[in-house]
Amino acid sequence: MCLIKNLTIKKAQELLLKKEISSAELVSACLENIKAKNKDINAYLEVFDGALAEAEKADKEIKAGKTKNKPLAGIPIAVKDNILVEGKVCSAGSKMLENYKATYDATVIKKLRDAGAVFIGRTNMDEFAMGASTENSAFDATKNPHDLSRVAGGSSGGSAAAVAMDGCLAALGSDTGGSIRQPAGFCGIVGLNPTYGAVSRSGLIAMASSFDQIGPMTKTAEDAEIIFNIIKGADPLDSTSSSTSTPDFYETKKVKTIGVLKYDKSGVDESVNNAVKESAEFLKSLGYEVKEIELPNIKYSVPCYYILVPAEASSNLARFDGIRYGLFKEGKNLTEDYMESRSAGFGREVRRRIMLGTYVLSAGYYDAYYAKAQRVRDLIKRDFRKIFLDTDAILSPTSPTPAFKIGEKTSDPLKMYLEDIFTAPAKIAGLPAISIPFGKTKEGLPLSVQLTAPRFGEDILFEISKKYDKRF
Amino acid sequence: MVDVGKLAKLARIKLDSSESEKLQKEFEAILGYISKLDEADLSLPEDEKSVNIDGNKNVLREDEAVSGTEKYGEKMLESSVLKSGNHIKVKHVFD
Repeated sequence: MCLIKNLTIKKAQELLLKKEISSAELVSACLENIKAKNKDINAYLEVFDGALAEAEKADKEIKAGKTKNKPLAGIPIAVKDNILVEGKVCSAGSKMLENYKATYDATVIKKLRDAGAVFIGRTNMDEFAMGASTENSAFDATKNPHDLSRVAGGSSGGSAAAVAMDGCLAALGSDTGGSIRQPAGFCGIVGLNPTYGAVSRSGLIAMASSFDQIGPMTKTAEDAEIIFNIIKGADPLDSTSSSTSTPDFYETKKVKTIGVLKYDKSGVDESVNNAVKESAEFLKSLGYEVKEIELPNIKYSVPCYYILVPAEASSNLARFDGIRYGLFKEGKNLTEDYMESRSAGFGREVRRRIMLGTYVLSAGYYDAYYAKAQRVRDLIKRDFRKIFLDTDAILSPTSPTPAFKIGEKTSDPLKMYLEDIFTAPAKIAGLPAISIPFGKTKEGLPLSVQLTAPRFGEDILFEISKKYDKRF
Repeated sequence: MVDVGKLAKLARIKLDSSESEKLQKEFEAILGYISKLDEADLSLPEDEKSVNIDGNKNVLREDEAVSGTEKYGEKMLESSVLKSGNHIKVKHVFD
């Protein structure tokens, strides 16, 4: 069990190359942990049959010295259930796609496969990535490995829990409003939401196309960097992807100034406020210039988000009509086929968001909601731009509280939406942001802080957050 | 006041009456919260107006198929429960 617990990708790579461990041993250790813990935690929806065979193949390649261009040779990685792996079921946590088999590999999967990664299984998530606790999964909630009475966060809760319970060395998640960073924070691991466009979205089941990004969930910032550098880059299959690596408004190439976000501390848990404060002290002790900054319009981030995202989701999810793929339930005529199939396939939150999106896009309301939200999105981008003219990164909480109790927020959708209060701003502006573990509460729950950088400023985030790796 | 029944129809979702009622209340609360956007000052200072904040540009390609039916066709047909031979059979559009 301790084989995985004490390992990172970086360390495992070294041990594999020195042949002190084998990939088969790594994968077997993960499988044992999954067997022992998954029935309680429900991080994995499926463990892939061929994982051990793939590991043995990797071992042969390592032995034959054929892995020079395969930095992840033999490394076990878990995949969120909305990223296509050819031939495997990809359900997006929904009854709608319970039996859907991916017809091709997502670009990120292709890249990781080429780098030698071993895919160990697919992880639980809120249905179609709509949620902040994984309680909206059609296949039961994922529990927090640190406290089984609490949520793992969401929507990438299964991926976060899979890493935290030593069921893999790293996982892929997707982030639309905080879905990588918040569960990473709740489970005590690192989660990177890349710049919009930094990583191809081809093969990611779409929720909101101007927000969605795939990113790594790992034990250390160093590991997040390793995965990010493999999956990033322009892809002809995603016209919003880019190979830019120069951060916006950034000339000096030396990280000097970190802004601490000014926010209303009264709505935020004391332990979180303290983590941010101590983190600012830590950064100061490293020699960074630390100052308080204000982003006056980010208070509109969540309302803006809950107009734009349901709007995009309602049109993206129109494709699920039971005809070409997914669940089909027959009605009296074609329209009823659609209605029966969609009602049987979609859970409550998904139906809620589709209808909300339909409403804000409907004739007569479009200008009051959607068009206005787009203009506010622009204002928020301008806020960040102004700050980044003389600040290299922004420190803030990841979420207002540590992991909350299962069932605590399920009855009030608005309460759940407010989980995104610190993570949504980066998404509105398309910025990269990383959540980093930072201590624990008195009860032993993981705490975290978040760093946000200018677009394509992932290297800034890695430079700073790798210093947190050393702190622990 | 949101007409949940009409919305459900537009979104091609069938609702029972208890869910309709619940959604009605939830929508009022969510839309109430969203209306916070009305407080935002949307005016921009003169020197900001010309700044293209995203630097976005269109990405175009030739209008031609990049993967033929032979590559994915069979697999895609397999995904449909309405597969019938080498096509998908649906009910007629007009009653």
